Amino acid sequence: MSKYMLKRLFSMFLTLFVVITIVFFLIRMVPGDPLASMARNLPEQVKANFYAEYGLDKPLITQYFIYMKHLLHGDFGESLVYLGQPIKEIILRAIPPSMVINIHALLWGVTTGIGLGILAAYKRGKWPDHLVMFIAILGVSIPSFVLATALQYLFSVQLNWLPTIGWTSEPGMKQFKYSIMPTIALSFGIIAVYSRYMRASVLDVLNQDYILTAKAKGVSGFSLAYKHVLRNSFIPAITILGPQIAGIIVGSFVIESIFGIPGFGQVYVSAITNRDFTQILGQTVIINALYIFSLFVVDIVYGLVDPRIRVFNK
Amino acid sequence: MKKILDIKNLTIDFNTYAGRIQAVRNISFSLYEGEILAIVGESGCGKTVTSKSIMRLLPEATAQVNNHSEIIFDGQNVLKLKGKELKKIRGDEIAMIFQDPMSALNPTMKVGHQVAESLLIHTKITKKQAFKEAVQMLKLVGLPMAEKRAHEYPNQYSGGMRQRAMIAIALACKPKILIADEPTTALDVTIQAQIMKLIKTLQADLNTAIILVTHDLGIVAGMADRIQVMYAGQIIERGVREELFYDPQHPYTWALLRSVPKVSQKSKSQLYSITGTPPDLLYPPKGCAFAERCEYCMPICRKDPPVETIISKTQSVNCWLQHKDAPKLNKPSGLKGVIHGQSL
Ligand SMILES: Nc1ncnc2c1ncn2[C@@H]1O[C@H](COP(=O)(O)OP(=O)(O)O)[C@@H](O)[C@H]1O
Ligand SMILES: [Mg+2]
Repeated sequence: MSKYMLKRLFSMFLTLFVVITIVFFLIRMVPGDPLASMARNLPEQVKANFYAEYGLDKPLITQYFIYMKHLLHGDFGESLVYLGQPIKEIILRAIPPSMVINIHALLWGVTTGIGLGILAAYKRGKWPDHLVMFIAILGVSIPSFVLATALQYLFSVQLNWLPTIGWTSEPGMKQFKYSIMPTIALSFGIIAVYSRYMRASVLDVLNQDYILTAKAKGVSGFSLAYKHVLRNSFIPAITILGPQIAGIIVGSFVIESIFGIPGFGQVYVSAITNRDFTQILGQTVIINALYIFSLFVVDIVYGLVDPRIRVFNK
Repeated sequence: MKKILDIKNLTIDFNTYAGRIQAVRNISFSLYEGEILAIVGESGCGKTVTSKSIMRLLPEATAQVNNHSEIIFDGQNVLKLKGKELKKIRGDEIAMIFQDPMSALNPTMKVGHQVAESLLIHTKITKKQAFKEAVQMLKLVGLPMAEKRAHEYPNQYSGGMRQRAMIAIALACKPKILIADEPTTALDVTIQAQIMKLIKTLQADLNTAIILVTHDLGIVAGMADRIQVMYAGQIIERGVREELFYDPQHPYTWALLRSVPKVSQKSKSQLYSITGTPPDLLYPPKGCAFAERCEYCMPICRKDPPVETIISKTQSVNCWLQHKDAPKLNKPSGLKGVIHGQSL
């Protein structure tokens, strides 16, 4: 591993640490606690016992150090709402459905967006270009939850092709059917962003001198498109992958709630309403770790595609 | 000598939002086997557009080549070629080097592969053989440590090395014609001389005909066989090198010669530069395009375009000063010094 990679790894952990710290103190500044959202009129003594049991009576800074110590040992603590349930178990249960939908949405969104963007660039000014740009404008202007509801209305209520809401943990046809609408709703924004971005990138590359060099050599057709145009236009497209991944993670919070998918987002949203501090923190750690890790992967891919970045490895 | 390229009535317009830019206005010229033909003129006079049109590299959406234009290569009109036939000419028969080596190489492809690519397209060899030959080619153009360098990407090359690589790409298939569009303009002065020398040596070895495009007459003094001076999309004077340097006829050619730095000149002394700017090609003037900037401008010059006057079998000029009623002038002094300075 190179020095550059080590540096990156170090800054990844540093970022994660900072994020956890900020979130820890931030959620404590929000009014309300787990008891407030469960029952309003508990006797003072019961409340006090509860706080003592979970260490919530200690000074905040002490709580912080205790939490961090446990976290370093891989212990996320227990839920403050679903008493006795380890956060780790809740998260592990919620991850698979989210993974299915998020990864589907990312793959589908990026490939479709790239495909449409290339098409639009090569058919610049003709109807496919106008169509793609129209889709792109819809994609950025229609929020995913509006699209989700529209999809439900069309494909479930009117056509009765797909189940409105629900999920099954068994992979297969049934799960696939449940996943179609959430995937489309989640990926629409990415398609919009990617098609615009890819179109601009391809047009930019088509204007470069090295495309003329290639043509002057007699390169044409597929070779020209693949080796000279597309390879170079993918490079900027890779850089925006990070924000897209973040967008999907956040977007799935809403989408999972709408489609009744017992995933990470749904659990997260309910944890926030319940002021389930440990669970909010646990999930924040996981989300951020995933996100930072994906940025790291994006960076590596970037270096693989673009030799100008590769000099860092020396 | 045999003609290998014959350009007749080439006229090229660009359709832009501002209007029709008349970039090349009815030019005709020929290229002979194994010669170096220089096209000289200020920036914006249509040199690059002319060069690109020969390889059909102009943007199809905006560039409009007049129907009467002909570019005859090997008995066929290049402007009418399609698909396979065009592909066969590009890179194999006619090759081109561009002005800016920094942007003319594909940044994500190893240089060796970029050289090998045209070999793979135009000859029946394996990838491995093509790469080997590419390394040979890179050695030929004087790239240091060619075996190792062939595996590197353009960003690891200096400007001069990139232009060497470009030359290797262009000459890989031993083309009959090489078009070099300001091949050294973007390079340091010392590198410029090396690259020019390289082109000259390779030209002699491969017997390739070269169209050498430049804005600097000084560059071509040492190597061009014939010179054509372009102004505002037209050829205004042409002749063999000696004629253009010893007996130039057009005031614009005089001005170009005077703006070449002389070795004998004291380095800090002022360099002559032509006042004014070339005409707007959206609305080219109806008379002589150079009239506005010409010290010797006569009323007729603004009224009618000058016709071509034949000076010798090889030299001709488009200028009203050649008319029998025009005043006889003494050419500006100081032209000769250029020639001695530039080791003709
Ligand atoms: N793609 C284009 N679109 C519009 N105008 C162009 C284009 N390419 C060149 N021109 C115009 O054609 C004229 C000649 O340009 P060019 O051949 O590049 O000059 P140079 O002699 O410097 O190489 C210029 O006025 C330029 O603005
Ligand atoms: Mg030019």
